[in-house]
Amino acid sequence: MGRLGAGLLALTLTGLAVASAPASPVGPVLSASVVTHELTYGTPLAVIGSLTNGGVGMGDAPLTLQADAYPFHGFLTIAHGSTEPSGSFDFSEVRLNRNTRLRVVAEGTEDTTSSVLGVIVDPSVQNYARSLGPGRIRLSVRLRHTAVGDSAPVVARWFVAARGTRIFHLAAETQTRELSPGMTYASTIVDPPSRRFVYRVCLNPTWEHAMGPPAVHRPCPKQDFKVPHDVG
Amino acid sequence: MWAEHPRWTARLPALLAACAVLAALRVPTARALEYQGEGQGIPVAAFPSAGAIASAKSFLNSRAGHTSFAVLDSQGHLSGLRVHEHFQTASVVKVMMLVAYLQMLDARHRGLGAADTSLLYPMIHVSDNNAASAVLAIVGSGALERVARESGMTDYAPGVGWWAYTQTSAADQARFFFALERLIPPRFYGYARWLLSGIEPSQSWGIPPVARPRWQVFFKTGALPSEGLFNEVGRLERPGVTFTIAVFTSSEPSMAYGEQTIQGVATALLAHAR
Repeated sequence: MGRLGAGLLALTLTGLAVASAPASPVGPVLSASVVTHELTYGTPLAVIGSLTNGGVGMGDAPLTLQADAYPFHGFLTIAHGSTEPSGSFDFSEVRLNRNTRLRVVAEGTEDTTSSVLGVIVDPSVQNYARSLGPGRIRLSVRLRHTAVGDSAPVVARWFVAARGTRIFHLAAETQTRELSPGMTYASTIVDPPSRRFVYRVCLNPTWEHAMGPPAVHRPCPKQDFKVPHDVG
Repeated sequence: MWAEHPRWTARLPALLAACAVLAALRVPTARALEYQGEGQGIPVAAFPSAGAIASAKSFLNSRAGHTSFAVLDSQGHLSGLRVHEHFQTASVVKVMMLVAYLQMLDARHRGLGAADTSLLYPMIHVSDNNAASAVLAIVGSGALERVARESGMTDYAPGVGWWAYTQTSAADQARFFFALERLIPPRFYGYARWLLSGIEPSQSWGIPPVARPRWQVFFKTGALPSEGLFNEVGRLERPGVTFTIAVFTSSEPSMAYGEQTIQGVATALLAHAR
């Protein structure tokens, strides 16, 4: 199953939706959830939920889906919809191009808003390794990403490690280039450390804070590094 | 063919199996925006070989004077003899000046003009000292220190009284020449290679006569004859293989002897080149 299929699985994330209390709350309650809180650029997202009042679904109620995308300056409406007779709703095929906060608002129902749903959008990445002969292998990476930020080239650092070892050696530093807005490419030619090897490419593009989890918004290593477990 | 990003490939089963548990989706290993893949290729042995380096060590130990050499082999491993011994750079520091000057132009978004080449060309091509002094006055000693830092030098110290007295080591210079491609702004890299591969024949002693034409040689010699000091640093390239050599000598009996010392090291290192 591809990422698209996985992304469309209508599985709700427990604890993310506004849970209904044991005793029915007073007034309408709008609960919403997303299929996944992290997806790849280009993958559609589904936002699902329900609008209830006193535990009873409110049908045919108009809704808006609002998004606050990085750098998070405020919510804007990105889709309109309405609830099913049961009170449930489904915004499918939502396309996000960078980290975004989502919420659903019930129109005409004063202050009925879902909780805010944070969604992390990772760049879409394709790696490529092709042997050019003894001692020469071309490594390349192509990323599809948000067009936020400028397109200035940045350094791509290439590390290689023989399979079964733990040390990645810095093999090359190259510059990225933007093939078109939102598509970055980098490549290098290295001498493989062994017949079968693992490589990593690391970069700090101008758009990195707009995409991916905060944990990866750190500078790339600039020299050899060791990983805890054998690679490959 | 393009392969899917393995991070995702690895993550997908977890996504399907554990998507009800948000914490289980996070990949804990990513430390930066980094992507991993696997490749298959045919590795070549590091060049020069361990045997060639041992032979060069043996040769250098047989020579008079104070000597050292360092090699950064084609896989980036450092070896040699007395690699961190301090020497005066003499004119080999002019390559650091060249890099600093080109970095300055790049930082100011300037191209190479006639005024620039009228300094850089003689400084490298005929090792003109006046041009070097002018370049250093323009870039400043801080720029040389930055170049030293960026290339990972550990034995660098500014010259006292004259730039030719800059302190360095064979290890530092071998690292520096290995890093030239990274240190020189891309738009000026071709010009720098042209300069460093076209040095005036009378100053092309030591490594080039041994290595050419099998290798492309980018190099700089340096000499303080009054101190019997003769140095040379070279970057040798052919398709798929790049390595650097730095040979430093002092208290050599004569210039001819110093040149022969450097040439002998290069001969030993290249003896088994395929």
